[in-house]
Amino acid sequence: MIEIIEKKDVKTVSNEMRLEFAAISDNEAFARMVVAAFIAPLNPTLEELADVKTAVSEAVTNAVIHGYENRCSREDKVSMYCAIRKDVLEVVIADQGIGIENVKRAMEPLYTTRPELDRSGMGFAFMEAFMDELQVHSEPGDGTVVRMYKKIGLSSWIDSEE
Amino acid sequence: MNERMNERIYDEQRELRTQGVLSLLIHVEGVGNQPCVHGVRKPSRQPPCVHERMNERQKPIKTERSLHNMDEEFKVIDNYLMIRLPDEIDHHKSVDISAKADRYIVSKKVGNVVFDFERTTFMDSSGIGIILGRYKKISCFGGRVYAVNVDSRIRRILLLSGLQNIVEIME
Repeated sequence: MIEIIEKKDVKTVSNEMRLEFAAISDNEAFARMVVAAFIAPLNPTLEELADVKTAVSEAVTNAVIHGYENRCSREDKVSMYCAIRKDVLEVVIADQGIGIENVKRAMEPLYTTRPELDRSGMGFAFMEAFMDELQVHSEPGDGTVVRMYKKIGLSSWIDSEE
Repeated sequence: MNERMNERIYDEQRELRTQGVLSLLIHVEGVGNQPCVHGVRKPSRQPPCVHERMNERQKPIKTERSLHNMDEEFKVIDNYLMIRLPDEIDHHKSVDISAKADRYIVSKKVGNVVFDFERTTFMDSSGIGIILGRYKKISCFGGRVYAVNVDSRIRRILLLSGLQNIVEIME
């Protein structure tokens, strides 16, 4: 299992949280609420909030229906780790599912391994579009770790410039 | 003897007067304990009822349509299937929406589908999947897909997915 937290940069972390929940689709909304509540003190704009919620929703959905193949078993868990360093949010979503064989191919827009589930294949594309940085680590049979970064609260920077 | 009778009569009358006033107050002002809608007695002057559930909270009334429940709604008008999408569209909800939409498409033989985003505040790529899936089903019969009441965020998501060539966004 890939280590979720990197050992570097731990001193600059001002706030962090770790959460583990069942890999069922009901928890997609729950994960969105969690990350929204976590970044609320940073005073994000509505657009930044929506961006982060969308990216987290995509990552959790991937873990549920691809990592654990949508089997909705209570034993399957999705791990979520969030950290704030100054005004940069780090979100890590990890699962111990089947993993991704070809990460580069998986991240191609419109590519999906589950077209019968009405999947658009745009999950990673959305995550890349709405977050500043996206890293995906996966080993077949050993799970997947999705790490995303976004700078929150740019509006305060614009205000101080004026 | 007369004095005592007078006293008794006076007491009885006073009792009746008190009761009458009380019942009048209950009728007019709602003073006193009355059962709330959940069947539990509470002082009726305290809104809202503490037994109200979080998900049943009355949301602020924006338009008349907000009074309906926040789930998806389906309507068939002529050859068009109108789908009023819920406030949040994610994978969890999309399964239900797609299944219901397919049932309508098959049973009512609709040719076109209209997605109404008026109530939608959040959508991820599962919403794109719903639209694409219905499009695939009806396009072979010459059907078309429309999107109405699209705000700037939904429009951005549709453009990001390249769906502007498939879905006609109506103003």
